[in-house]
Amino acid sequence: MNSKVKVALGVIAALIIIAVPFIVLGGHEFAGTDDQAVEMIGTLSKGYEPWADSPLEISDEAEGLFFTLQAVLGASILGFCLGRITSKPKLEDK
Amino acid sequence: MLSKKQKSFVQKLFVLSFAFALSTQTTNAMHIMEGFLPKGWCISWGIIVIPFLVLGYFKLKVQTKENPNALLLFALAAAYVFVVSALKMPSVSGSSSHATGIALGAILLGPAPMSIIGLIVLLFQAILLAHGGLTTLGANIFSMAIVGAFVAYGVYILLKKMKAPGWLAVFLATFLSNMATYATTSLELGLAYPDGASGVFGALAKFMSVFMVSQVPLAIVEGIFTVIIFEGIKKYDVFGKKGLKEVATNEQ
Repeated sequence: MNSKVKVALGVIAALIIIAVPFIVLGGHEFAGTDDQAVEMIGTLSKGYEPWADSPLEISDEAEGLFFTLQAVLGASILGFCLGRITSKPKLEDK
Repeated sequence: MLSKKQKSFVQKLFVLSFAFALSTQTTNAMHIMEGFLPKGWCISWGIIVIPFLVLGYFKLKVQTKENPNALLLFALAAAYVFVVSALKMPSVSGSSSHATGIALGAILLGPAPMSIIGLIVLLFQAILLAHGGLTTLGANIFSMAIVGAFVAYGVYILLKKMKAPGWLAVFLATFLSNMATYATTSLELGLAYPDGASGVFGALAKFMSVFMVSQVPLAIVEGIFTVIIFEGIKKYDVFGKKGLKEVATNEQ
């Protein structure tokens, strides 16, 4: 099997794994595991109050925007690095 | 190679930090959110990660001296962690979480430099995204960028020694690195909040039930993408004179 087919199969498998929860659970709201851990702390240690707050109080929209910014920033650097690496000579050519 | 002076400094730092970390725990025998770890534990984990950060810095310095492309690989590994940890994905368990992205860098550069990447990414998320936290930074670096990195590296080297195919070694290293990260997060929380009836182990089991099941499909997805990137770049001449395996196994 050539490598492009393998990559395509890998990506398809990954997409299926990502899509399954949406299909199986429909309109379910997926709570973050960090929030669930906070609930668990509340059960184990009743009345626990966090003793520090995040330095920036940001809205949900702003948080979404910053997460997107992080992904875009990361993807740009990742793309740049992959471009630089694949422009180098291949090992077997040497 | 690290110089004798650097080695001895890092060794002393390890001993000191563990001693200090233990001394703060006199009576109490994803990422953890800001303020959700008691102060003593925040200090302990914060101190424990210091020698790992120093070791990571030294190793990175040596690698950049020995291989002109090491910084490029470091940037690639950091960018990968940035992308992967920004993508919250739903899981069939009904909750959502994100993968860590640490394994790729641990395999390419060895585990030590990943502590620096963990510091950069987790600081960014704690300050700008209100995700994780400054007070829980040490605990989160320890679980993701230290345990996650060393597990990835250990599994990869072990499987390579067992002559497993490269893709399988990378996939399992990534998968187990993810699981180990969240098992460590569960342990950190279990130690801090032992269950009234079943103690630390009972609490550990409860926190693992929150994190681990959700993480399985995400760890598989990250494994697939890490294999694709790894297989894509391993044939290029960027690993210095010693080659890929030697870069990762190099005892500097």
